[in-house]
Amino acid sequence: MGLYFLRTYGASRVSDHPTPSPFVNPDLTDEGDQPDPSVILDYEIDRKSWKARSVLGQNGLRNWDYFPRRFVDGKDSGRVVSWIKSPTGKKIPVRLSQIGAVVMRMENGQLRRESYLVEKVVAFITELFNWEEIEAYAIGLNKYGFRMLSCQPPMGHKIYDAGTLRQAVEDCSRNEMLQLERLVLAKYFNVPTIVDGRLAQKAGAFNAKNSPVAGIVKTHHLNYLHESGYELYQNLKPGERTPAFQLATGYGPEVVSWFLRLTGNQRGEMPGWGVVRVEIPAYYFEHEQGGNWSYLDKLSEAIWLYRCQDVTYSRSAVSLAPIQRAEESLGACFLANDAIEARFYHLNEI
Amino acid sequence: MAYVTDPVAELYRRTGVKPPTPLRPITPMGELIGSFNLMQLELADLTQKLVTSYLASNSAPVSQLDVSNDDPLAGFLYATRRQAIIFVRNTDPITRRRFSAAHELGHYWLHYVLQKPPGGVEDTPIIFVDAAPQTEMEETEEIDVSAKNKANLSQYEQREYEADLFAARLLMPTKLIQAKVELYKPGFEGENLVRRLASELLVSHQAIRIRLRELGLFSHK
Repeated sequence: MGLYFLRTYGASRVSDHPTPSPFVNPDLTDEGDQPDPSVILDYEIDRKSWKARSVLGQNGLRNWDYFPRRFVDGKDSGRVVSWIKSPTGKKIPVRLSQIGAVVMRMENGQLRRESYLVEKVVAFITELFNWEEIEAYAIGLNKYGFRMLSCQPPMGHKIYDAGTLRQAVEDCSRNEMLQLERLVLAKYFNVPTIVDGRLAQKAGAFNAKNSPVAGIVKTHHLNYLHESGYELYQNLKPGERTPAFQLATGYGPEVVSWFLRLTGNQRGEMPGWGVVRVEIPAYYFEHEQGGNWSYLDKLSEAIWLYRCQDVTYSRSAVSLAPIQRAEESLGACFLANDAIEARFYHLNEI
Repeated sequence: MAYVTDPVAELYRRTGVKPPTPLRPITPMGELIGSFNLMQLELADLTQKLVTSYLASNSAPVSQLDVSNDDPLAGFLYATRRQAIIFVRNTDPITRRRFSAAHELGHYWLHYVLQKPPGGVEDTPIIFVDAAPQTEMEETEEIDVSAKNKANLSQYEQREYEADLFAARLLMPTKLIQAKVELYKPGFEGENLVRRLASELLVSHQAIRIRLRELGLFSHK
């Protein structure tokens, strides 16, 4: 069979229960892996004059050339299924997951799956092992439809910290999922597209100069706003947006960004719940759209029209219906995790 | 050297090992090495001194080696008719270790096996010493097989060039790379393509970037 590597290094099955990580890792958030951002709050109007701007009722929106028609989402579903011991005695987590990305396209009022990619991946830190064994294992996994991800130990962390290593393999798997998102996004980057998450994570898959692409950030862990701007963000009404600001994170393109409330806050949620942050490439906005603010208003209303109205969906307040459909569509392409795990254990004889 | 138009194809033909395909794109380096009377060993802090000590303890002739040389090495090939060993430095990343092993296999195949006259050679050890790059830039130069002017190379440099070229073509076959690039078109290029192919082929980002440039398939975006 050839997949004896894990067994050689003492692998055993691991039950599915969460293990708390010893460190808070901001990389897991939508806004985590960026250095200190540079923010220009006076981009659209002077920050002292910020007030909410309603985006509803834009003229000619339905026939607007830039009405978003493509929606990109990704999914990483898996867990650490085994621990092995390196030749030097370090405990190394092995994560098995299904990763995927999907593009949904709206045509004539119908949302259809344009393309998708799904992979079964096995992620672990390979550096502590002999290259020949790692190579043989990777080739063996390939034969059975799995792909090995050779993860790097986290920089600056002690390699024996099991929680940190577990986090490292999760990040490795998630980064590979983002890579799949880039891959599907890149196919038709000239069509108006909405991606789930920051544009920086999709850098290189679209042309920041002429791609009509927008990123929707659902969870906000960094505050880019001044005090009155923050109050405005919390008090937005459905269909209102904040003035736009420019954001440069040093990673990915400079973006023009603003907050937009999709849904009201009626069930005692946190004040910012129901608000998404929208990003578009700054170069594209300034050069292709001539810095026309009505572009932001129209795009905002289009996004608002796409808001998720399925109250049974837990994240509906910050989701777009096509993105929710994308998630469901991708989920349907995944096999049951239990079945994948059983096969993996069988192939590895553990 | 015996004239072989495509030494990589000849290696697969002679060993009977199956070359990688777009669906199974990792070159079976271990299997190729195992097809010969060739061992591979990983040593920490690889130096000639350490290799000499290892070989001497295994009763191998070491008179040609510099027993006091402590310079760090990335790879080392020691070959006689009775035994041949590829040493690589185990503190290098996996992808770098694979490249070093492929480079040493290149020396073994191109400069030993294909040069052997019929009936074998005298049992004088053949040794190839490959210094570890001191900087990232030096590493780039070391495996940049596309930019060198072959006409001005010394014999040592010529052989290093040939081994680098062999390793690059073995680990990143032209047709396979072209097929992958075609698959990921349109739009998926530059560093995203580098990351994807490096992961699929189990090679370093640097190595695949150089190979894509060599094939005219790398573009910034």
